[in-house]
Amino acid sequence: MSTRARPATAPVVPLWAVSAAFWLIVVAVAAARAAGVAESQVLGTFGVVFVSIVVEALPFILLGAVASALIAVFVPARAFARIGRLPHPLQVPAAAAAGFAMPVCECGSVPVARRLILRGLNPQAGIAFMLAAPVLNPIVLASTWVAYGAAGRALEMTVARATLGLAVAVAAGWALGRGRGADLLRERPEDTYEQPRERWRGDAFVEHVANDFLFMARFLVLGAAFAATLQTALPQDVLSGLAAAPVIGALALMGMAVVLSLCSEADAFVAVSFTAFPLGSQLAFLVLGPVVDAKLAVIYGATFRRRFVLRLLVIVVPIALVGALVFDEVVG
Amino acid sequence: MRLDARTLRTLALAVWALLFLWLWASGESVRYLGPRTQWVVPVGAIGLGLAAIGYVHATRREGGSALSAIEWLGIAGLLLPIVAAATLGGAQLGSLAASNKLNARGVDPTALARLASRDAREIGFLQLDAAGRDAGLSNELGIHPGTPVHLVGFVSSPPGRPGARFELSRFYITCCVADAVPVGVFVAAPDKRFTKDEWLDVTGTLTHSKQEWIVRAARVERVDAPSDPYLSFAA
Repeated sequence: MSTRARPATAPVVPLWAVSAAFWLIVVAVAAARAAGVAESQVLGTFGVVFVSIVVEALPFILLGAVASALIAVFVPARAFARIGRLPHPLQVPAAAAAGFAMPVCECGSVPVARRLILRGLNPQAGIAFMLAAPVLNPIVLASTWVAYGAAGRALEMTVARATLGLAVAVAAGWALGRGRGADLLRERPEDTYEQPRERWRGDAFVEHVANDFLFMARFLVLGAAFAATLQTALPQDVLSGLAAAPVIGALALMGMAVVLSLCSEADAFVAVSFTAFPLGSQLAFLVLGPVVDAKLAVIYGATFRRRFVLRLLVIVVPIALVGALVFDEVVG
Repeated sequence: MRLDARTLRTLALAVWALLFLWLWASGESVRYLGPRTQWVVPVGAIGLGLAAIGYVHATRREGGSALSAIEWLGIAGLLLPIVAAATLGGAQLGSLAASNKLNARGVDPTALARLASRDAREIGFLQLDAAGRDAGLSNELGIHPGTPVHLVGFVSSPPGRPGARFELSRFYITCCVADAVPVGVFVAAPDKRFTKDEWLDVTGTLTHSKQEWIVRAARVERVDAPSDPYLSFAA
């Protein structure tokens, strides 16, 4: 995968335009403060929740971008291809389990899996890795541990998230990766083009970090804005009404995971705030969100051939639902 | 002079690094994060600062490239939280959030009691809420009728008429404001009228009614909102 900026024709943004936008924002902020906007309960609640989610999650995004760049720059793709030499029945679970050691979030795992499949990795193993890494990677599990620590549920939630995430990834890999990689992936012109790269790897690493961070952070901002809107406009009593029925509660939170499109490195901090829902429903939120959400649907659509998202939903939603119900029976 | 994609990406990283630096230096991060997650602020300030500097260095030989419309929107969107933080600098959760969020009565009572007794150096909102439903916990925490208390909080539910009791609340957070849980205590203050979101300093004694402890106020003073408006389960 390369995130290197494509050479383009000419810079397009005049400095005066950026300066004008900056001063416009400064004047607007000053006017809003003078008008006492902060005292508005609606705007204040939205703003505080919005900023708090972003401030808390952005450093996790940065850590994920650093890890993703380390893999992209310093780990050759052929290292992953060793999995291809394993006996076929072991390849899918082994690729999924590799997610434990691969700290990439969902935005980073798609292009990595695509590149691995293009280089000959069994597509089933590639998909299993793509779906497992965002749930199983160490940063995600650590953030889950931290988020649920205060509630005294760190161990149960972290183990359950890893186990159910692994099961979902293996099942989806088996079901969706049958056939040749060429039948699964959308073609791109650059697939046949190897970029000449005579460049210090430190520079490539830093550029990967910056590009990955800026790419992922924008989706976090969107998700945080939506979460803040929900927290401001939607009384949690409405949600707690849904939460009373475990199946509907789990489905409701899975739907919310799709809409919120949070990064898996930070979603546990949001999930833990859904205190009205049983832990099993929160678990379903944590397992489904990194596998399929609104922003991933766009990325999948650009990577895989038709109906991939629909087929993925058909497989993972029932597994996550059953896992959530079993978890509530055993632990809740 | 024109700004290319490289410069704008660097600016986006640098502006976020500066926001984290400001949160770190000013202590304003307590408006957004609990003590458990304060460490992310220096990580963000240093990490994003290094990323901005490193990116400028790593792309020093890059020619000027145009920013796509999608990336323009992305970078503009990235600045929205910063604009929100600047605009709503003194904002905090109040009565609206207290009515929207599930209150402490939605939290597992056993867990609440455990948290209350763990941090029982003084009698606060959490202890009074949990002890109201648990006589054993009341005895364990030394809460009895007539026990003196001192609370500072905001009016989440004002009195329906002058002299009627009202609810005084504080938010407890674990990681960040998004997971805040309001915990309220009823206060009886004869001949007083208060409005929503007013911050009050209340001194009085306790009396028990049904399944809750009520503060019978001897003195109520209006005060400014504290700079650290949230309490923490993890204190």
